[in-house]
Amino acid sequence: MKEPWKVPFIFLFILIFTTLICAALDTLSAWGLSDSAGRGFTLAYAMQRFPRSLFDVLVPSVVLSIVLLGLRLARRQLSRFAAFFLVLGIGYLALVNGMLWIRPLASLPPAPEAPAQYIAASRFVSVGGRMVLVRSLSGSRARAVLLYDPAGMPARFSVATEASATVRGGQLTLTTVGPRPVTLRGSPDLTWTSVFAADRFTELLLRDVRTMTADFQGLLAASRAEFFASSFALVFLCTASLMLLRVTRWPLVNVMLLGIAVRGWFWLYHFLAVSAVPQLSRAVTDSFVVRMAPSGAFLAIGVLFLLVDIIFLRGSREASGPAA
Amino acid sequence: MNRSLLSRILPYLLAFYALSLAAFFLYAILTFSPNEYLASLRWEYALKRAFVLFMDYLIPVHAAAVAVAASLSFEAPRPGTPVQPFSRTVSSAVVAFLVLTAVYAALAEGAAPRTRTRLENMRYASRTAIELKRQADAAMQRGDYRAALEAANRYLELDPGNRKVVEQRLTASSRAARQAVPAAERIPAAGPVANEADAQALVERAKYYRDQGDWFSAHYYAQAAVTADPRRRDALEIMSQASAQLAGIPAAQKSETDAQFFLRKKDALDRLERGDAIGAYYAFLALEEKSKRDPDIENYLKEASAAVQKTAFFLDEARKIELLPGTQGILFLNRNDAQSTEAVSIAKMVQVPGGEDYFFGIEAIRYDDAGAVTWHFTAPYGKREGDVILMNAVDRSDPAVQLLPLYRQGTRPAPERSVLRLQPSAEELRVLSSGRAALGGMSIGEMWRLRSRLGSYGLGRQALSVEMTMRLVMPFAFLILSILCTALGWSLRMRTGRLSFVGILLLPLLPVVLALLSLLYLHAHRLIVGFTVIGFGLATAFITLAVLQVVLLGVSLALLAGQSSR
Repeated sequence: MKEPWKVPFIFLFILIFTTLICAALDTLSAWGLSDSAGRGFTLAYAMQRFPRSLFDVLVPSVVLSIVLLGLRLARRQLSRFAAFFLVLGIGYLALVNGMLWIRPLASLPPAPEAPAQYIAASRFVSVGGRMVLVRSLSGSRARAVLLYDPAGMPARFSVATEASATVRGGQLTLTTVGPRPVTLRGSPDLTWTSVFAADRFTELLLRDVRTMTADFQGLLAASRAEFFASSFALVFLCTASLMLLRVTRWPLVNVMLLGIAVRGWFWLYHFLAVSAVPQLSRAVTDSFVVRMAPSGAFLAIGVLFLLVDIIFLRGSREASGPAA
Repeated sequence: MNRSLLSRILPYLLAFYALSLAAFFLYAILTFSPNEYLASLRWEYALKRAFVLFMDYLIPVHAAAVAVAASLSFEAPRPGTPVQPFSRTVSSAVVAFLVLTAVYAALAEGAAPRTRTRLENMRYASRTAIELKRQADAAMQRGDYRAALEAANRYLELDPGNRKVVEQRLTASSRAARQAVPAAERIPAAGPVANEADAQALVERAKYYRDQGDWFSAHYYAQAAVTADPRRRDALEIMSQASAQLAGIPAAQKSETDAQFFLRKKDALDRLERGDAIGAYYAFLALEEKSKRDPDIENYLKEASAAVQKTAFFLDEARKIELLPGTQGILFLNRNDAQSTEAVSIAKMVQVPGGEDYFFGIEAIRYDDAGAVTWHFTAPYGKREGDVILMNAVDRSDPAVQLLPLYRQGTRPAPERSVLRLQPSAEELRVLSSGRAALGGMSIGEMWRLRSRLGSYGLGRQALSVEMTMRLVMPFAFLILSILCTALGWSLRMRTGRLSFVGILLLPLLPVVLALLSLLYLHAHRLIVGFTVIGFGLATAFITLAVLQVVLLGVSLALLAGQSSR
């Protein structure tokens, strides 16, 4: 079987592999960060959550798959233009069709909210910078409620015989009953959610990925044409970036350059979507131009990379040595 | 291609380690904040911070070094010479990785937690010192020299080398002595800070006060001069002269008869025998001032002092120790049964190297199942004695000064009123402070011992379990990433030509990319660990992690074995 015929199958294999791993991790993360307070991890939960996770990780998975496929193609004696069009076509089809197919499965019913998700008897819970501890909880009624205010003067502790607790949109409101009622309101800081929190560098990457994914999901819901165009711009830029694998004679540095570039594209998208587009919207009245600005920038950079590849780079750096 | 990979990797490893340490040291120096740390701690801070950063980022730095070394180690075989199998070339490197993993684990569990704790303590001590300096400056400005002297003394305990504060202390002490000559005997003795002062200047000040007839100040400065330079005979002479003058003052004031003295001694002894240790202590203290040469009084005073410290402690000690760094924001359930709940909050705990624990800002409350408060008190100071906190703080010389718990609601039987029995040990109290920073300074063994009891203190133990499991994963991550990066570097090796200038320029990119990748790898582990700990418990987490590490190790070894020498 000739290499060009193998490429789609290899890409699909890589895409399925990376998507499944990323989606599984996303499911674990979602359960730990938001759903673990309300429900245990069951097969039913996993089956319900997994399509949503697939939908959430598809964009970065396609990007990662393009990079991994590019690594393989860089070692094969294949015309760079053939490789470019192959990767562009397969990557685009996978992204667009994947998003279209998974979307109907990805709707997730909102998790039921109850104070018991956040308040356990005889366990301190942090709410709005203060700590709460109840001896018992029945529905929305908490009994023997201890409040601890670290900045409290002259005393940090106070006890209420009873309090009412409600939860709405992840915000817990607790109001004590008595002549001088005290209200605590805030997002409960469950001790275990901090264990899922990423380090600051990973968190920045996840933030950028979330921005891009949310935009693509929004475009898919709002306008198919804009979604197709944005998907093309993203896949085009990632495919054009594969030319970095031939920049120097040192393959390791080339791979690292590609890694930095891909990380940079996610950051750039976040920057354009969150910081630059609001500025642009003040100067440009056409909302289509504003919405498509990040994708337009991606397309422009992709064209630039393609031109650099055509004009300055040789066909293959690997030609001089045998493949490993 | 017959040289072992280890001989080529080793220089790169050493170079990357040295360069990263230097870079982290430079970073620590450049980001040093005088608002957070004392200037005198700059170099210690930089060294320790560099080491902590080095340990935090050792995995990506090591991975980058291994990948670069493996990538640049290829030598094309000469025609006609046999090529050594790759497994033989790489075997010594794998053994070296095992040794380095053991070293990494020892450093991560031994030196790194201690260094983090020390850095935290340095920051706390610095903040205290900066606040004291501000207090001393403010007191000097408003002319309150006694307060300025006290603040300066406290500051110099934390930062003894600060010349400006030493001078400020001297000025404050001389002005305070002139402000309140009758109370001159309370002027603190010249401490070690006098070493930094100019002995000549001190002698001149002593002479000045001698000529003025101010014998207390003259004695003080002469003593400071002798401490600074023991060879100063002129200072010794002034000291002797001043001592003789001062000795004459109490002699002129003697008025008590021997009979009265005997009765007072007997009364004090009765108090001691009745168990009124505090009353006996003050009585013997008063008698000692009258007759310093009475051996009975000296012995009974020691006995009374020891008895006092079983039920109380001296306020000056607590105030002195308050300046030391410690664990802050401790909150826990001290007791929780079917009838009642008892919660305790401690603003700060200081563990003195000698084994004594002092507590500051203590508050405790007990309430029943219906939420009715049984008692609720606050106490400014406390000292640990066995498994109880003593909260009766007494002045060393003034019986009128005594700090006891203030009961805001309810009360307790008299013998229990100023003590609180604690359930957690001193070691456990450290973990009960708010924030995960406390975990950074703990070893796996300490975490394991504490884990089983955390639930009874009203705190979830998942965070501790996950942190502990992640610590166990780190050495495996080190080993697996070492092997993976060797395979990666070798598969992406430079086959022809030399390393270009552009290649050298781009070299710093490698640790950056590998740092991002290794952090992602660790984050994925954290998700799996957190999920298994919370969902299925610690035992399942250990089994899952063990299986995962075996699989990853197998995959990494298979990838390495799949490389070719050609």
